[in-house]
Parts: sequence; structure tokens; C-alpha cells
Amino acid sequence: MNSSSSPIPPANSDRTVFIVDDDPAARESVAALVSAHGMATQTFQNGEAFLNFDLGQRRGCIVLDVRMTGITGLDVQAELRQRGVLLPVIVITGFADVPMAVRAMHQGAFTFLEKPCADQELWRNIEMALDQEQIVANLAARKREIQSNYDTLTDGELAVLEKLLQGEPNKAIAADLDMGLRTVEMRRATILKKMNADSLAQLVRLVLTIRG
Amino acid sequence: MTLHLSIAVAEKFPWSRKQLESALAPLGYDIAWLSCTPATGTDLLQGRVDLALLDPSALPAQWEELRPTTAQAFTQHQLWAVIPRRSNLTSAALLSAGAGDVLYEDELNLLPRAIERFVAQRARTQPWIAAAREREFRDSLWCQGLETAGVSLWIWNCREGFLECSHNMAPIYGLSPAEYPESSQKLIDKIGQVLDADDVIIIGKLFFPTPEADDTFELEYRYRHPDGDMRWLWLQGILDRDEQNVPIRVIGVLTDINERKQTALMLRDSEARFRDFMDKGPCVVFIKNEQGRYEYVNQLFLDAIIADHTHDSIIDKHDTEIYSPEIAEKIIERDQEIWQSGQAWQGIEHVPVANGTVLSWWVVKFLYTNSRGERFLGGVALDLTDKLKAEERAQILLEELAHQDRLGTIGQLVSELAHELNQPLYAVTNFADACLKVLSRPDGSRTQILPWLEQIQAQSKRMSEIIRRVSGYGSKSLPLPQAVKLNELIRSCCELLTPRLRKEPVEMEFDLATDLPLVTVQPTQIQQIIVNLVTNALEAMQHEPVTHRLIGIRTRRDPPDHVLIEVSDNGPGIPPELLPSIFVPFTTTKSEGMGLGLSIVRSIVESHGGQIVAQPRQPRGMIFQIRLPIEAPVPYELQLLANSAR
Repeated sequence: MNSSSSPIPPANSDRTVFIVDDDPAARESVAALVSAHGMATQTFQNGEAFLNFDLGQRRGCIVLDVRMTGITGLDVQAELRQRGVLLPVIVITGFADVPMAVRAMHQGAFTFLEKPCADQELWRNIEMALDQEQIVANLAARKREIQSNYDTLTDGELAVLEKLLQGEPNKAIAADLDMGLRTVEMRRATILKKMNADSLAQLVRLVLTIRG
Repeated sequence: MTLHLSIAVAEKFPWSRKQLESALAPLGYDIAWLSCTPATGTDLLQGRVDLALLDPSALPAQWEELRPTTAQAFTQHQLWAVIPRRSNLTSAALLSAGAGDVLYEDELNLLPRAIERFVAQRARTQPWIAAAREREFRDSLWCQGLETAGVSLWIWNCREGFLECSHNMAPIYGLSPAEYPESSQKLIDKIGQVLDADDVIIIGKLFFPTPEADDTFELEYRYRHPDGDMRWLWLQGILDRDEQNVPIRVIGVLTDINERKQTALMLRDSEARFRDFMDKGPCVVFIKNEQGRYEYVNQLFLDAIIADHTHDSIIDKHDTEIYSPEIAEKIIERDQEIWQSGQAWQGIEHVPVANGTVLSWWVVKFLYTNSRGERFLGGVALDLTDKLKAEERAQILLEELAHQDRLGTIGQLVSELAHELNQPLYAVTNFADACLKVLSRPDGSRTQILPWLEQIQAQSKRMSEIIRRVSGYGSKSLPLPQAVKLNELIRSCCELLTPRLRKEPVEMEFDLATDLPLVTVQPTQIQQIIVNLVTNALEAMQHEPVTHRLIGIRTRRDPPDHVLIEVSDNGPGIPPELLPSIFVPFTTTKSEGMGLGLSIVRSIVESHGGQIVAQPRQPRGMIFQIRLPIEAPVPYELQLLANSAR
């Protein structure tokens, strides 16, 4: 119910790079690269194996090969999106063509790389993907925090909040809600406190964050 | 002295034997009485009778027949006593017919005197008669000899137009002597009928010669034998002239030369045939003796090989006198081998011709012995230059086409190959980055990077394997045939196709015989066959559901000396009406491509001495069956060219 209980993740400690490639050497080389940078990896030998794996709330990013026997990488990507998995996906292919790249990007790939990658290119992209994931994760955590604050507001406070958001002054709110001016002021202070906001302007920003 | 008397058989003969004996007894002759028969004339001719007593009236039928005989008997001074007083024959007639004397039946008393006259006369003429008989005998031998030799004698009386000839004239013309007696008009008429009209005119001129005519002549002419054949005769004649140089007689011989003539003609034909065959054919022919000198060369030898040489200037010459030292040395070396081994030799010799061009000759050389036991080296050479060049061109063209085809295949495979290479390259890059990262850290652990370095090594090897698969396949030059394991070759082809097989999933079914011998082939070309057939099969099945796609490759031994390779698919097959033309170039059912694939496959198979057939597979699809000899026959000339090119 407060900021300390919010799950703001640490940098790399519990994040994993998920590697999906049907070529064992390719798979292991990515794993080697990632582990050399001190990160955890988990490898999958094809798309099915990966889809059968329960990602749950796991953090990290996905390195996905396109051309695999069985389900192709792009189909795996589409399925993940369908499932609402937000982990960034780096799509890798040995033989790229424009339609394939377009589809991958449409499906929300973080990036689209061609094998073999230039020096450090794969790792740079993994880092960038992880950074993005961190941002997304932070954002999500922040949203969750605001939401939980928001959820503590009472009906009376919510009614006052709506009027505040509409920019009405306290006197008008009191008249509209048929309550005393003092009551309005009290509730306004409670709202700011509950929402951990310093000002009305900050409060408005916070509420807009969760309302999109 | 013995006196042979012959008495005609005639009942009417007036004198009995007893009367004759008593009449002749005073003469003291030993008289051998011969029986008298109508063949008396024969006895007379045979000279067994010294004296004949005949009653011509008793022999009326024979008289005319005996006339020549009596004439001859008379010339031999035999006495004829012909007697009947009552006969209507007069003594004058009888004497003119050749009777030696004529007595009448009542003149028996005159017989001794007549005989004595005869004997005295014969004594006078005896040596002359003997000489004449001897001459006659010799002449008859000559005639017999000539007749035996098929030569007929004749005398032509130009003035009277009368022919006398030996009795074998008729047989020479294939006529019966009985039907056509010698010197008869009937014979002359018949001869006139069996000669060509032209010959009759020529012979007519010879037989009625002008004073200016040559003294001798000879003529070969033909007549139509009763069996229908035209046969050859040879007429020779000598003119006999009178004091005014006017020809009075032609004397000569007629010879049957048909057999000789036919033989000569046949010989001439055969020689002409031989000469034509030798001189007008495309082969150079020569014969050398044991000294290596030319005994015979044909016209082409002179025309093609030697400039400014005549037949005579080549004969008895040595190769060193004809060719440059280097060429001659090679030829002589080869000849020596043949003389020593006694084995015929054949092969290519490069010999310059008159204009300096070096031609490639297919030469066959052999030894032979003639009927006199002399040994020779015979040779026949055929100019193969153009053929060899054409074969070489065809081979180059085939190789060029095959090369283009392989390049095409590589073009199709290149994207798959790129992917194939990208996999290990990707892995290597990643492993290398990982190693670098670890090493850049102060706490970098060697043990951590060791497996990654090993992986880098493994992936590098994997890449070179991929490159090895395609390298060589696209190269233009082909190695000479080598003995290979066919199954391994097939497997390597399928490796080459791996990327494509991954892209277009298909089930590969191998049924490779384990008892295959090594097969001598050009490996790249055989790979190309397999790649083309498998690619075709893949393309044939591209609209089939993935689960139905099946390519079968099967190898078998085909005793005694062949192997079979079968590539089958499960596609829709080839319509029967197209089957006959699928190996024809530029025939294709596909929208892309030149339609060269199968024709190249067939060319390659055939250049290996094999065959390929396409047949429907049950229940569907096609089977391409290739039958290859274990030892591919490389054209001998090409081997030689290949060798000489080295």
C-alpha cells in the first residue's frame, strides 16, 4: 500500500535472456555471449518448447530465431503478443527479406537482426532491449503503485477527485456535492496524501497515468 | 614278200578265192587273205591293204562314201581292180574315180600282170610314199596337238571362196562335228550366224585381202555359243600370194581363248577394282618391306602426305627420306615394335601432310607374309582429324552445358547456402564476442571461455565442410574418371541439397546396396545427375502436401558389370505423351528453366556408356533409372588427346 511495497525490479539480478533457436551451436553461442556479460539465460530448442514454457512474471528479453523446424519464429512472436507477453523480442534470421522484417516489426519486435551479427551488435541490442524492458517494467511498477494508491480512495474522496480533475474550485465543489467547504478541503488533503502527490498538478498527472 | 589282198564281199564277185589263188600262185607272193567287209574303205585308209579288189557294183551304197577314200588310196598307189563286165560303170569312170586299174571278170588272166605292174610301181614309189606317210603322220600329230590345244587349222582359198579346215573347227564353235563336218558350206553358214555383224565384216575384209593387205593378221572376236554365252576366239592368218603379189590363200589357225580371255578380263577387273578401292577410298594404304622401304603406296598417300612425289619416287624409299627426322623416328620406332612383337598395332599417329598441317591419323599396322614367304608391314590410315575435333568440340560443349547447368543449380542453392553458412558464422561471432567480454574483465576465467573456443573451432570446421560441398561442383574443369564409391557420392549430393531439402521438407528414403563395386566415373558429373534428378523430383512435388513428399534413392548391382541408380518421387508424374521427349533439350513442363536438365543428365549418362530411362512409379510419381557400366568407356581418341595434351 506504499512505495516500499512496490515491486521496482533491480537491474539484472532476476532477469533472464530467453534464447529460442533450433541450431544448437547458435543457441549455445548466444547463451555464452549473454552469460559472459553475467546474465542468466534459458534456452529452448524450438518454438513449441518455448510456448509450452510458462513465462509468468519473468523478466528479461527474448532472442528468437525465425527459421526453425516446426513453428517459425514469427508465429511464436505472434502468439506471445496474443498472450500479452511484454518482454522485448529480438528477431534473428539467417536469411532476411523485407516482408519478413515488416511482419516482425508489425508484431512489435524490439529489433530485427540478420545472422551473422556484426561485432557486439547482438549484445548491444540485448542490452538495449533489457534497458527498454527495464523502463517498461519500471513504468508498469509505477502504474501499479499509483493504482494501488488510487484504490484506497473512498467514494466520497473519488467524487471530490473527479471535480478537482475538472478544475473546479473548492467552493464550487462544495456547492455541487452539497457538502461543506471544510469537508471538501479535508478530502482534498486526504486525496493528495493517499496519492502521494505534492500538488494538484502532480495529482492530475498521476491519475492520468493510470487512466491512459 | 607278203601281199595283202582284200576282196569285197559280194556274192556276185566273179572270182572265187580258189581261182584267185591259182591265178596268183605263179607270182610267188605270200597272200594274206583278209575278210572283205563293207568297211574295206577303212582297211584301205589304215594302210593294211596293199591291194584291193572291188566290185563297185556290189557296193553301190558305199561307193560315193568311199570316194574320198579311194582318192586317197589311189594317191598311195594301191591298186583297184574293179571288174564286172556287165556293170554300167565304164572303166574310164572308175579310173577317174581313182581306181588303180580296171579288169573285167573274164580278165582274171591279166590280174598277175596287173599286180606285177603295181608291185613294180610301188617299189619305185615306196620311199616317196613312206616319206609322205611319215610327213602325214607328223602332220596329223601336229594337228592332233593343235586340236588338243583347241587350235583349228584352216586354209581359205581367196579366189574360189573355199574353206578347208581341220575337223575341230565345229567343236571350237560349240557345234557337233557330225552335224557340221569340216570344210562344209553348212559349217561356214553357221559360223556366219553366230558372229557379230561387225566381226563378220572385219573377217570378210581379212579373207578377201587386197594386194596391199598386211602379210599377217590376228583378230580377237566373239561368237555366240549355243549355250547363249558370248565366247572369245583368236584368229591368226598368213597371206599366201602369187607372183603378182595377189593373195591367193589365207592360211591360219583359230584358237579358243575364251578361258584365257575371261581370266584376263577378270584379272583386269579385279586389278581395276583393287586399284579403285585403293586409290579412290578415303584410306591411305602402304606396304613396307623388312628393310622399312616402301613397296606400295596408294594414290591418297601420294596426294595427302607427300608433295611433289610420284609413285615411283616413293617406292623403295625409307621413311627417313620422306619425313622429317623427328616424324620418321617415331614411325620407325613404332614399326620396329611391330616387327619385333609380330602384333598388329592401331592408334593415332600425328603426321604432317603436304601443306604442312599435322593431321591425326587413325593407323592400323600389321605384318603379313606373301606366298613367297616374304614378310611385309602393311598399313592403313584414316584421317580422323575432323572427327576428333568434332568429338572434342562436342565434349567441350557438353562440359560447357553441364557447367552452366551446375552454375544454375548453384545459383538456386546460393541463398540456402548463405543461410547454411550464416548459422555457424553467427555462432562463431557470438562465441568470439563472449570470449572477448570475459577476457576484458579482470576476473576473466580461462575455463569459462575454453568450451567457447572449442565451439569456434567446431563451427569453423562446419563452415569449411559446407564450402567443400559446393567447391568443385561449380568448377569448369573436370577430373579424369576415377573409381569412386557410388553410395558416398550420392550421399554427398544430398548434403549439397540439404539447405533446399530443409526449405522444402521432403522425406528422403535411401536404399543403397552394400555390395556395390567401385565405379569409374567423373564424380562431378555423376553428382550433377543426382542433383538434377533430385531437384526435378522436388519441383515435381512442390504442390503436394508436405506429408506426401517422398524421394527415394536406390542403388543396385546389375551383374555382371553394371550398376543401377534409381531416383523416384511421389509427385504427379509425367503425362505419357510427354515421356518420349523429356530428354530432348529445350523440352520443359516448368514455367522457368531452359529444359536442359534432363538432356544434360542423359548426355552425361551416355558419355559414361550408360543408359537412362524414365518410367511411371506405382501408385504415382516417376522413377528415373540410370544404368552405368562399372568401367566407363572413355573414348579412346579422347584419352589419347588428353594424354598428348599433357
